[in-house]
Parts: sequence; structure tokens; C-alpha cells
Amino acid sequence: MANKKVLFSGLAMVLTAGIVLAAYQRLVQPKYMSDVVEGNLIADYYNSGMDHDVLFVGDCECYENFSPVTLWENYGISSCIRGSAQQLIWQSYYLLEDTLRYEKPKVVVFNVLSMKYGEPQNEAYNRMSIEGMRWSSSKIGNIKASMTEEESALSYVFPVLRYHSRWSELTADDFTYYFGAEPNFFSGYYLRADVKPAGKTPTPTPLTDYAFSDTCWDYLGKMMKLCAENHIQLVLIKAPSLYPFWYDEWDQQICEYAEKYHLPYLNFLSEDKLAATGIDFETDTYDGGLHLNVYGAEKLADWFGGYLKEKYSLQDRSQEPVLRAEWDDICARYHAETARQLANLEQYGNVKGEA
Amino acid sequence: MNRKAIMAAVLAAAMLTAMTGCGGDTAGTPAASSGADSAAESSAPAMEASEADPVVESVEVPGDEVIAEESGAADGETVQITFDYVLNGTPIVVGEEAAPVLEKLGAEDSVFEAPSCAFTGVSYYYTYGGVQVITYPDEHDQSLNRLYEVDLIDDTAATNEGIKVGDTYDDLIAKYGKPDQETPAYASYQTEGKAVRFFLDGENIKQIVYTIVM
Repeated sequence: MANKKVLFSGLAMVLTAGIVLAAYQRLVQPKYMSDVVEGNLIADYYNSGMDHDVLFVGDCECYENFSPVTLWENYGISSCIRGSAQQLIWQSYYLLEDTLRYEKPKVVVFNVLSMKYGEPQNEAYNRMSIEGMRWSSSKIGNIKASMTEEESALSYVFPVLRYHSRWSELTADDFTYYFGAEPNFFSGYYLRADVKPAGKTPTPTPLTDYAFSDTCWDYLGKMMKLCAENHIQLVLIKAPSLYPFWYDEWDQQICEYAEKYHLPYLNFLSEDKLAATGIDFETDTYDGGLHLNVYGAEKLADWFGGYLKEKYSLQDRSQEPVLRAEWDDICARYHAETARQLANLEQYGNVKGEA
Repeated sequence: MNRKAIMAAVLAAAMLTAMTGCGGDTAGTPAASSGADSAAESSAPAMEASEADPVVESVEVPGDEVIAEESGAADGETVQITFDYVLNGTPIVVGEEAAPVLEKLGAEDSVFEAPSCAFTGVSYYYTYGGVQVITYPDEHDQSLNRLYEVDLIDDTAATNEGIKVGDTYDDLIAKYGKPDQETPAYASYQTEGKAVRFFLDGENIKQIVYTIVM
């Protein structure tokens, strides 16, 4: 009897310690609400109904340049973006793999800028891309592929190992959003309604080597194979961002690859695409040409929606009740957020409403 | 939401008491280190020194300018290669803090801002005539910018040794001697942590870059 008591006491202590640690871990993990909101992009996907015909995977050139709301409102195309800041190609691959656990889109759109990074780059961006994923073999693969030398895999399993000392930096957000973030995005899209015209773009610095790394080619091949196995059309794009520079030598490599494997490749920086989409870097960017604002993202999505519909016979699903209910909510939030940012711009001169 | 916040606060108070002994050297939120698309990251990977390195020796000269003295010029004469470009009398030392140098340089013709994705750091491209000066946020302090690169982009600017855009490869070799590394696309001279690279369009120099070598 005494032994049983000791055993139960021990178990209770272990259980309590576990709960305490888990609770503390949640507290010290960044909430990404007031600052660096992009940290919540990846997790935001799991709040959706997960029924999309078009999936975008890529970096900020995806999640800031295409408006899924426009695709829905103008074409009845249900789409989402799985993107995060400086999302590396293997991260896009594992996010695609992860997404296919929940749904099977008809078209996957991959933005090729990340071909320039052949090695893990930066812990902060890794964390934003990986920590929001649900646990699966894809997440484990992503961790293994992404870690810089200074990172440990265990700290992704137990983030408290990484964030434990944040207790001295806690803010009101850490308590307010302890139980979850509020939706900040619109099917993976990050909305900005301000305008900062692009000025003179600097002269690109030539590179000593323009060849994309074998690692990047491998992951592009894996992405292509995964899409083929699932009967998904892969479309390669280069979004219309003036910076980072997209070198002609890089473009040539993608063109050759696309031709070799019969993949469509749309470079939205090309003159004909800029003319077709109507992107105007005087009015359609919020940061001088690095990313589009909502007006540019709507123009781009409007043109791209027409392209997708024509090329891949995507149906107008706007009358499907379940989808419509979810999209009505997303659209309402989207238009409200646009109006809120415009009001802030008028009153405070910035979209955040900071006095 | 308020109830949730209060619950979280109470819980946190208990947690903090339990965890204050944890300590450690890790920071909180991962550092807003060098930006996603910063100039530093858009550059080419660091190059390896070639096996045929010339003898290079650093010496101090007036004006805080580090000069590398190199032997092996094509014409047999010793040449001096400077790895810090001097613009209007102001040496631009890559890797150093940008602000004091920019102040000395005065008003630029144009400036291009390249904010880091998600974070607060900003890379800048300052243009002074045919010279482009690129800065990037410090890895540990995003508010501090460092000089990353100096590009000579047209023939209005020449290196301290007198080579400019449009000159030929032969002109370069005659002045600088054998490069530490070269391909048909560029010739590079380097010293510890720095390089000056001459990018070629056929026989002619199309751009000159003073940069950090990691």
C-alpha cells in the first residue's frame, strides 16, 4: 500500500511538473501579434476549411503579392498561401507535403526567388516557418533541412529550451494571446493598404557565381514529383518585386528547367507581364517596389485568376454553401481591414494607427 | 479575452516562480538578425583564396587607410592595392559602422531602402555619382548599420589605383598584377576579410566592387 502511495505521488509530481512546464512554454513562446505578425502565417492555415483549388507556396513575394480574396470574388477560385518570411525552398516543399495531408489542390504555384538560397540562413526566419506547423514527418523533415549550425532540433520539440529566458521580456501580448492568436491574415495573405512609390532601383551587384545550388534543384525536382504523383499542376512564377534583384542569369536557368520539364513559368517582372497585369510601381507598392500593396495584389490576382481559369479549367465555386460561408467571413474581414488601414492612414499617417 | 488574460497572468506568476533558476544564454525571440533580403544575403558566397596568392602584407598609411602591398605585377613593378575605396577623401572601410562615414560623405544623389522582411532592419543603397555604397543591419543590433559594399558603376569613378569601368582586362593586370582568383567573368584581389572585384563584360570592366569576404 505504501509503495502504491509513493508511486502515485511520484506520478502526480511528474504530471504536475509537465503541466507547469507546458504552460510556461506557451507563455514564453512569441505570440507574433503586435510585432512581426508574419510569425503567425504558417499556423493560420489550420484555421481554414482546407478546401482550396490553388495553393501558393513561397516567401513574402507570395504572401504579400497575391490577393486570394480577389481570386474568390472575381473568379470563385478558392485559394490559399502557405508562405512565411524568407521561406526557403525546402520549407516550401515540406509545407506543400504538409498541406497535401489535408487537401489536394488542382494547382500549386511556387515563387522561385528562394532558389537563390542553397543553405540554411537565419534562425528567426526558420522559427517563423517551422514552429507554426503541426507535428508530422513533414515538420521533422523541415527542421532537419532548415537548422543552422547554432540551432538544436530539440528546441523545436521543446520551444521552452529556446525561449525560456523570454520571461524577462514578456509583454501584454503574451498574456492576451496566451490561448491563441487572432486572425491577422486572409487565406495566407498579408494586407497592406499604404503606398510608397518605387524610386530609382539601385544597380545590382554582379555575382561571382549565378548557378543555383544542387540542393535547390533537388527540392524543386521533389516538388515537381510530389505534384505529379498527386495529379497537381505545378506553376512556377517570379513575383513582381523589384528587390531582391532577380538576375537574368537566374531567370535563364528557370526558363531552361521549365522548358525541359514542360512546366509553365511566368515572370511577372517581364515587360509583357507588367503591361498585362497593369502593375504600376508608383501606386501599387507599399515599400518602394519590394512588395505590392493591396491594390497591386488585387491587380495581380485578377490577371492570374483569368490565366488559371483558362489554362486549368478551374470552376467558379462561389455558390457552394460551405465554401461561401468561409469566404464571406474572410472577405468581410479583408474589406474591414482595408478600411481600417485607410482610416489610420488618414488620421495617423500610418496603417497601424500609431500616434 | 480579459478573463483569459487574467488566467494566463495568474498561471504565469506561478510559472515564473518555478522557472527563475532556468537562466541560460539564449535570448528571447530569435534575434531580428540580418534581414531576409538584405544586401548581405543577396551577395555571392565568400570566395576561397586561390593557391596562387601573391605575397600580401598589410601596412598602415595616413588617412586610416589599410593598404595591401602586393608583388607580382605583370610589368614587374610592385603595385599597391587598396581595399578601402576613398570617396571625396573619405575612406570607406567595409565592415565598419556606416553612420560616421555617411556623415562625412555628405548628401547622396539618391538612396534606396530595402527593409528586411518581417523585421526592423533596413539595408540602404546610397548613390554618389558613379559610386554606390551599400549598408546592411548589424547581425546583433538591427538599429546599427554597417558598410557592406562599394560599387563603382560607371566610368566617372576610378579605383584608388586609377582603374575604372570601361578599362580593359589588360589595363587591370598592368596596374594590379595577377588576380588572386579569376574566371572569364571577373578578377578578384583580396586581403583578410576584404576583396576588390572587377567584373568583366568580355575584355572590358563593367563594374568594380569593394566588398567583405567572410
